[in-house]
Amino acid sequence: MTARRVAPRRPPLPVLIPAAIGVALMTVPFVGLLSRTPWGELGSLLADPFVAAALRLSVVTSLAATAISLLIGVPMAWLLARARFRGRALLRGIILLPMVLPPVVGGAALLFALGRRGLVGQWLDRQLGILLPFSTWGVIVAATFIAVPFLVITVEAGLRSADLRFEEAAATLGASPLTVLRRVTLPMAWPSIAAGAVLAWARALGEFGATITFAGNLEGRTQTMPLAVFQALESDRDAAIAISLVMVAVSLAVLVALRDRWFRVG
Amino acid sequence: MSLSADIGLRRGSLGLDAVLTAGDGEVVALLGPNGAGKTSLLRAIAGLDPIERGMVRVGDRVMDDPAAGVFVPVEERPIGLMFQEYLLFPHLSAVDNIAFGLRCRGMGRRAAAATAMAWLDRFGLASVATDHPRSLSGGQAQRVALARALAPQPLVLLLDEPLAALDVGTRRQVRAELVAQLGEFSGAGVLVTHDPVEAMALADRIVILEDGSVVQEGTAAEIRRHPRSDYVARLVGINLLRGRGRHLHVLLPNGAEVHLAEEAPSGEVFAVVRPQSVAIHRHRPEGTPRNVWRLTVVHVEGEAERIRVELDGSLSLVAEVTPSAVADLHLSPGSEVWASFKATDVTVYPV
Repeated sequence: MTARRVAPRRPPLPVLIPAAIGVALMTVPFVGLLSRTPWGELGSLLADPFVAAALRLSVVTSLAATAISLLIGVPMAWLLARARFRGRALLRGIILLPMVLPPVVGGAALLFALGRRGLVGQWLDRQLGILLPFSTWGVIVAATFIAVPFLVITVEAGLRSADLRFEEAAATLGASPLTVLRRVTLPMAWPSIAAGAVLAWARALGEFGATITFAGNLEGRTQTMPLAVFQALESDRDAAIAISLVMVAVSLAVLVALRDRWFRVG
Repeated sequence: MSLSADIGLRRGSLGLDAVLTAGDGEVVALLGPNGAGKTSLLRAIAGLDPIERGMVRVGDRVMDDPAAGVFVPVEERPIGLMFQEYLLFPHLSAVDNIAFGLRCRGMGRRAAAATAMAWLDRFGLASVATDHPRSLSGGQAQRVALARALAPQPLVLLLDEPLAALDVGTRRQVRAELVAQLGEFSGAGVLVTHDPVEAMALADRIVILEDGSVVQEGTAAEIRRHPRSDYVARLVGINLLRGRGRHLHVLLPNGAEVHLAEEAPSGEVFAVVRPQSVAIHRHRPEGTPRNVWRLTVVHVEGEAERIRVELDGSLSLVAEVTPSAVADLHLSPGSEVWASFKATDVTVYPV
């Protein structure tokens, strides 16, 4: 890859002015958050066991949702990108629906399907004794449902832009279709898979609406950080700010750290 | 014959209908203009595209026979293919690229790595073994791609424009290396090119493809002596005029006449005039030359000693002249000139 060096030039005003307004819009809320932060009590606020529980639950469920998204999302992306079948556009629409729908609608739909009296939930309960609503697994299912489209859309784009001739070259060297997938297609699509996983993780970490609708807001079991913030805003505003600050710090750290390696920018 | 292919298929507007054979140790060049179907033919032999009619065999093993419902998938064919852009796997080092095919054929990891290293040694690439393709030079990438195609020991090796991706300076050197490397290959080789020099340098036999069909095949010398189409003639650098022979003349379709020194065979004939035999004048020449034409300069090109001048008018001719002649005659596209050649410089053979 050749990097072309361009002499530094001042960006034109029609770019600069809206960009500056945009930067302000993106920055001001966080400045507001910082201005209200009770810095002196931050330590004791975060030491509260309900904060630690929410943090732990958020980390566990968002990572689990990301892992499941990878396991089911990459194959779905491959189908959408490579397989030829009727109803593909409709299937893509269904898979991507949670990106567009209000998460609370997604949560309600999950409840009707997987709840104790739900279509599939009834059977899960009776046959396997599994109850998803109001459980940590329920949080993971809700987060996966909301997050996996972000992975699918990113990986599908990556697979579509891939040069199929590399796969042909692999086949002429004796690679079976499965070997081609394992040793050529997936490694070459790695940047899009990684980017999709990061987006899915970020979305899962921030998940609120579907989680609270499907899994409720039970401390230590289903209360992730966003739910904890929501609850604390009503009772203890300083605690809400402290938790929010943790979320901002964690998210920003991850986004900045992954910028070069996974998003291939800069 | 190690490779025997009779291929009929349709791809877009191109209908491909061609027979191609190559014996063990033989290298056949598939030569033709862009869009003639050369790459399609190669892809069909490799099994990347199924044929619609005909048969592809390697030795006595049938690879593709639509009539009998036989189709051996790409990965099971003993056929190696080197792509025009090489298509080295960007996520694998040079040695891993070469080991890839060996691993696919069931060789263990260490044995494959050792064999791949041996190939790198042989091709003078040991120092770049762990380099990834993006840091290889064009010539190095070409050699890695060739080693990768050869490593699984295919019975047939297909090369699609093996030198096209290289700059002119590197090309000459890599071409010389390729001659040696193909010389050591014991299977059947098929090489696609649009460059006649490449075809003559690398191949034992040349098959010329135009519009999806084979128009001529033979050794370079045979083709140079008797080109069978205008494209082939231009390719090997001679003028080829097709017309009807009548006594001491060849009658061209537009009514023009070419004078001959000997009796022409009757019927359809080719009249061949070497570009060196065509002279260009400002004024109508007096005296001996019987064939004189008023023509327009279309194109002037060439290097150093020899300049090729393309002329058009009542017939198309290519003349080869010295740079001083170009200067003296002020030859440039659009100039009106007289072109002449002697009757004794025309060779005639039946179509």
